Amino acid sequence: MTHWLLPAGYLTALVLGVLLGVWSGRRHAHQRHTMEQAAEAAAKETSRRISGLIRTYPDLADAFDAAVAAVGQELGCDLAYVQLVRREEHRATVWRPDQALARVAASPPAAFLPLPDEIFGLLGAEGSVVVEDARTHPWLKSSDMVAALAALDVVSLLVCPIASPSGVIGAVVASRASRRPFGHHEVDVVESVAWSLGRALQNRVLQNQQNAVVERLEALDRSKSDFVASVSHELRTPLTSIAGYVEMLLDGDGGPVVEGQREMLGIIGRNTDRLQSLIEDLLTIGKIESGALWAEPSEVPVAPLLRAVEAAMAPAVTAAGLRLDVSAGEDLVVEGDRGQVEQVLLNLLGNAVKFTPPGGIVTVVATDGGPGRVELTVADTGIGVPQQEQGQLFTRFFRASNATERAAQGAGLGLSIVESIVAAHGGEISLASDEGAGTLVTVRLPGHARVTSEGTAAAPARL
Amino acid sequence: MTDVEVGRPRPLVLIAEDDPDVRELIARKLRGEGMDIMGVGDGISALEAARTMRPDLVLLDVMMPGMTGLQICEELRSHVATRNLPVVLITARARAVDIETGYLAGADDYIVKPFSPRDLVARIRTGLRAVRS
Repeated sequence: MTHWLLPAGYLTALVLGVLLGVWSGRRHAHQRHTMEQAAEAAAKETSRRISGLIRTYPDLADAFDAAVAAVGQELGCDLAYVQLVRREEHRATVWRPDQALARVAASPPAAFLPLPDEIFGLLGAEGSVVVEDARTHPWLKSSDMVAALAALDVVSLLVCPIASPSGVIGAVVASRASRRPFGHHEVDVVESVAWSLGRALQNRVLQNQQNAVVERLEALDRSKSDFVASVSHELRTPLTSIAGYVEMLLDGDGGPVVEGQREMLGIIGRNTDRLQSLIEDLLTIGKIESGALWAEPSEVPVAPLLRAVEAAMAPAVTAAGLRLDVSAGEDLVVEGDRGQVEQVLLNLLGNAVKFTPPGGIVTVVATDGGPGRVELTVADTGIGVPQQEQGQLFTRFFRASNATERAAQGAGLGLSIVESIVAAHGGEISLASDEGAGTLVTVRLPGHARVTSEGTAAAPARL
Repeated sequence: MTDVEVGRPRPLVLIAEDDPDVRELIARKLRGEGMDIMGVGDGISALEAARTMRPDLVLLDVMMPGMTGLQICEELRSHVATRNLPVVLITARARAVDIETGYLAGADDYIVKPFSPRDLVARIRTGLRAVRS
């Protein structure tokens, strides 16, 4: 719905202008044409400036202040305001020459706003209203309005709607205390300001919706992390008592232990350890699924990491009657989370140790894996994995048939965790195995070789 | 194993742990090692006991009702009388960032559940020795 109200004065001016044009001749017509072009260019420039100004304010109320002040000053108004209609309440920023801006609110619209609700009803999404003399306009004739308009010295009036997809939600209003009407370039300027404000409002609505979605997701993420932390606490605390008392009994803190009891306590202890590593694995998977695992990527020097892993594995390696060879270039750096890369190595080494008969050799090698990659390999001389089962090895809870036959402990989570960590780092993993001969796991992670002082990457060194 | 006792009465260790079974486990182990024990089950009592009982060392569970072990640790470090009191944190949170937070709060040592009672004793002896020397 578009209402263009052309006031009598505007028509008179138009008629006079035409007569004047005929009288003046074509030379004057050309001059007028140039002036018209200049006025249009000036109006566009003003619109552009004010719209740019509106965009610089992140706070909507500040943008409204700036817009209304610019309209008031640029158009030589005696009163200008931006009025927003929100349900029963009206809000406005009011500008007057030489006065501080006033942010006002009223419910229902009060005398400070010369526009009654009905005018908003009549404003179309694109239409503006130009009134040359508000004192005699049919829309504004109620006695309340006459008094209000008189109090505000409103004579010449321009109302441009602020549109949203749901309809008119406000208006930019400019007025003068004289009958000097708002020309069409001025209307263009104020319409463009109203459009900019409408867009700013719309952006704010979208931004609020986006923020709400982000907040909900963050809360969900927090609750998942909290869940993992609580479960971790709730499971580890009872394990502390079980494992602790088993150790104390075996240490004789509860009195002498006979051989049969010692055996039974040993079994309880082993299964407590098993339960604990299962809990750790499940917690790790919980973290993987909540996305909480990928918090702190950094540069992880590989050689010290391998030394730490070697030290951690040493007791198990000795107990299994194996030899562990570790070598790494001193200058290699993996880009990732240290704890997670360590877990990858511990899980792979754990498997190698578990599935290699006494006298075997486990080898860990870190090398430069080409541009942007560090390659880590874990090789063993163990029982290997049957060919037809190799594809399923990274599936959760899957266990190779020759592992279960040997009654080797494990829940089938280790490799699935390794794969998740490698994938989350943007790396690759592959496995090659000959049943009865051994297994080679190759992990390629983002990383690089730090160039040494000689300008060349150092060769792998035996650690 | 009596080096902590030479020339002085039995050391007093305050155990703040809300799980009664774990508290009792630690108490039994430490009593067997010749230490006196005082046990509390919440953060507020732990802080009060640390101030009034003048223990030689405090074992603090991190997750406790009332006040967390980290808060108590910071509180102890901010008062002259308890500034040098050895504090060992016990926690079920084992992430590197948790351990770092523990040391930042002023803890002398940090032990993760489930722990070995034998290992706990060794760390407590280290803590007691450190303050004496």
